[in-house]
Amino acid sequence: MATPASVTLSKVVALLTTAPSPAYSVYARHAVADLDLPSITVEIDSDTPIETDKAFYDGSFVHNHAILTSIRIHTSYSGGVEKFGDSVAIVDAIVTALNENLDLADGYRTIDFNVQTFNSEFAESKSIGAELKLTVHKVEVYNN
Amino acid sequence: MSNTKKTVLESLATGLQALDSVKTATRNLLTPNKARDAVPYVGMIAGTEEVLVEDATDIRYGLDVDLLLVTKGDDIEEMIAEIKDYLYDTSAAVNLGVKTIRLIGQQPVTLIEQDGFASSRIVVYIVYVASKGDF
Repeated sequence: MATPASVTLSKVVALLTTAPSPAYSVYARHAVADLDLPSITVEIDSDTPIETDKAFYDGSFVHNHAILTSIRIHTSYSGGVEKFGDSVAIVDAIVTALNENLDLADGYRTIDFNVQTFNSEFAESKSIGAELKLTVHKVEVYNN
Repeated sequence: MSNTKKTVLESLATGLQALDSVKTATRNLLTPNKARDAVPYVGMIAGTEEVLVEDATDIRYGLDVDLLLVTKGDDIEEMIAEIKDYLYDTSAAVNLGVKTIRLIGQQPVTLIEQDGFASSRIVVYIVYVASKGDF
């Protein structure tokens, strides 16, 4: 059964998989044994239902879910050194793609994203790179 | 590309043996007399595979491998240099079908005065992926 979290994951992966430049591989989980470099991995951190935000005289809209998504850029395996230039180029490509596609359709919308860190080691994938955090809201509109 | 410890070592032996300064490279060790007959010779001692990442279909391993180098006298300098160049070249990992090869260290050259043979040891760390279906 599709949940807001699983739908968000597939939408973000699909968005970032479309003709990436510079080229990278995309995986829908952080723990990948056969991890190519460079690559990105996407995983849902949390899916938090939130209360009604606003109501209008002709209807109301409800922010049903706030879905925190982690996007990691991998440019080296653990023990190596982050290829900083590659990380920056991929982060730039991701930020551009997110900015140009804030509306993810079907009531899903990117509310906020920011780069958390560069030169981090990720335990799940034994790799080094950068990480972005993305907040997506699943919005349902009710017209009375 | 899926690998096993054996295929990684065999591929590395094949790659090293293609170098001009290496006559014999093998994943197994030769006895001292056979090694001297086979110089310039590279033997291997592989450590225990370290599981780095495991998912539903694959396992990524890290493996320490000691390369034992034996040859005649000063020829070992050229041998060391060529093997290091080979390991530093990023195409080596691609050609061997592994994720990465890192040169970890090298022991000093030992020269045996009475018979003119020299030896050294280069330590590498290889990251490779095995498919669970291959077990």
